Amino acid sequence: MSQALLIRPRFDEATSYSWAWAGELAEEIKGRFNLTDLSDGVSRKQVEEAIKSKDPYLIVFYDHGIEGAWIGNAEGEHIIDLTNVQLLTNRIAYSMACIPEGYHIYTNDGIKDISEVKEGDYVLSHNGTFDKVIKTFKRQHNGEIIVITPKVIKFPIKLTPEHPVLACRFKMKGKKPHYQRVKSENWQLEWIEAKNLKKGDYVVFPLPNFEDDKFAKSFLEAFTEPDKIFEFMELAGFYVAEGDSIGKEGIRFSFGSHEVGRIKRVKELIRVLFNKEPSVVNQGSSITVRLGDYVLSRLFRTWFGCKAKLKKMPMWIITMPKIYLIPFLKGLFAGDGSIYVHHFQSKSYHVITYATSSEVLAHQLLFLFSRFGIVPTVNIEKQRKWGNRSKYTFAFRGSNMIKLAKLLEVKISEPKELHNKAFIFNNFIWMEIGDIKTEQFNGFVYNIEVEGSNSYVCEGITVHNCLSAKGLGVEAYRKGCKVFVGYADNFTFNVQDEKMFGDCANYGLRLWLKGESDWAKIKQSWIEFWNKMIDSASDPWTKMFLRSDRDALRVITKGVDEPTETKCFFRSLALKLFGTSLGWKITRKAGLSTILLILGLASVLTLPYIGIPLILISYLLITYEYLNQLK
Amino acid sequence: MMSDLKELEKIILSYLESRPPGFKWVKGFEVYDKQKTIELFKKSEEFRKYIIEQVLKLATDLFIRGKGEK
Repeated sequence: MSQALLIRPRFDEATSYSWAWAGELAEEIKGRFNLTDLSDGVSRKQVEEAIKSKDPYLIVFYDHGIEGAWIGNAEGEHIIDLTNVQLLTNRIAYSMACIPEGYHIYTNDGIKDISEVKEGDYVLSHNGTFDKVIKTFKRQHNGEIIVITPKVIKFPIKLTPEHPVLACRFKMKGKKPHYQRVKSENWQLEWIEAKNLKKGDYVVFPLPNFEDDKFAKSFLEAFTEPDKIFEFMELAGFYVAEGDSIGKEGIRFSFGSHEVGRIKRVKELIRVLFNKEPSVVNQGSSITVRLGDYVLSRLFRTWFGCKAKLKKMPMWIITMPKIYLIPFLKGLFAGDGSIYVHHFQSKSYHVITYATSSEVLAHQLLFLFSRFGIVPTVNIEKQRKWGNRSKYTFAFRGSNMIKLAKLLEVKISEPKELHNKAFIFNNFIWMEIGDIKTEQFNGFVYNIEVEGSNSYVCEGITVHNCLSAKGLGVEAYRKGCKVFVGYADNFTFNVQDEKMFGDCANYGLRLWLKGESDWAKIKQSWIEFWNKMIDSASDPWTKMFLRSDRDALRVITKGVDEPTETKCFFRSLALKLFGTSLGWKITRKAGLSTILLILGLASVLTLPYIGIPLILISYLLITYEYLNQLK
Repeated sequence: MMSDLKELEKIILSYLESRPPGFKWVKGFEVYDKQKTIELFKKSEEFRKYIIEQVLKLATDLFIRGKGEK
């Protein structure tokens, strides 16, 4: 029996539906193939190893994708992109992937991927206010990029060399510590091109400046029992740290059996807020407090996410008056925070820490702490026991720890050192550059133009691995993938009729599993099925997006949706001369060696000193290419 | 023509407003509920254009297939 590989979604709100669709397919694939089902938490390495060891004929991918890649579950890496697309050679690749991804921008609508920022959005500017985006740019960049990592907040920032950064150069004079000199000598910030920055210079993060925020205001106005807002915020903090939404079964909070005080507090909060008695399940070393309320479950899931790595905060929490944030932080730290004594050079001092696996939450917390003038040290490390996910650890030392301890009302000893590696001056958090390096890059970079302030705060300027899902499909076809099924645009669906969309998405593979091997016929029947669904749908919204998905469908194989467009002159020439099936398969080296051979042969009699080397070079090139193909 | 488009916008908006509270649709990473869809439709020209384009494409599709040409 042949092998098949199923790569399942990473389970966020958008893919919670396609998880079930992939599950249905899995059952049907099992009848014909030995199925390896890679579920949540799978990394690029695991997929690569599974493909190499199992040699699957069929690869089914159900997850998010971008133009040039299938995005998997592990953060910061693609499962399949243009660098390992050759893994699809001689296989059938069936994907339900679309969409863009990238780096984070602080917007009034939460933390967003830069490629998702649109004209009209509001982004955090260097003034600490949200300013309107008036234009977005996307361009191809082939060359160097600068990677800057501050010493304290270790989110790397990737920028093109000429991109201006609000920064301050380190001045080598005097004996006072830098942080004192910055203040006493009133160092000034300036826009410096990324390529001119060096280790030791300062980059800055603006302190948010919200005077009358509409998000928090509208939430507070809608909250029907204002006297219970503090309890609600504390429970929200507990949920972000320890909670989970379990669909119709409500919400649950998981604790260690020793966390008696926290369990008691959560139960109290639930009683006060919802007038209900939560159930408590004791599982030996862990205790779960559960409240069966579907509406609450959906609400908490929408606001705060579910599962640790997808936790987030809604914008109304981040922008709330600070007084309401204190109980939130208490709940948050009661769950995921800790205080310990650190021994260093015969000194010992307290450190408060907080850890999360959610990248979005980490960025949001940074933003939230900066409102209190607190600057944590943020470390990012891969955790093997967390399925190789990144762990974001916030450590609070010195004066930052004192400020936080006051908020949380916890007792700590006075730290001996009050200064920090990062400090606040002139409404900015100043961070020393700890590492700066140059990398080679070929792909898309993004930029946005902001009204008034002409600036924005970003973890990094997006650096995509180039080309298009259009690109991945085309590239897979070039590399010899037998059939690549995918979408040339976002797959979109109406939740009310999600089964219809799921049936449509799965239809092509179902037909193939039933024995139809002609993908041209499959596509034809598939479109007919899609049309039937469009006609039978009662909701116009459903009809509309079924049509859109139908037209986005691509079945890239010989005779069906064969790629015909290319920006490369030589490729288009090859396509014209040899047709699509051969034209795509001719490599650059093979083409070049043919041209050199023709030139060599033409000149060998009249100019043998040029002709013979040309023939030799073409021979070497074609041999190299042949050996490469053989490998 | 412009007035026809305005009329179409009104129809789409009233359709969206008539949706049940649980209305939700997923587009890539984004999950839009009723309120967000209405808000975007009212405020974002780009979004309005996108929806109108989808409506027109559907209408064209139904018209052509109704004639048996596709």
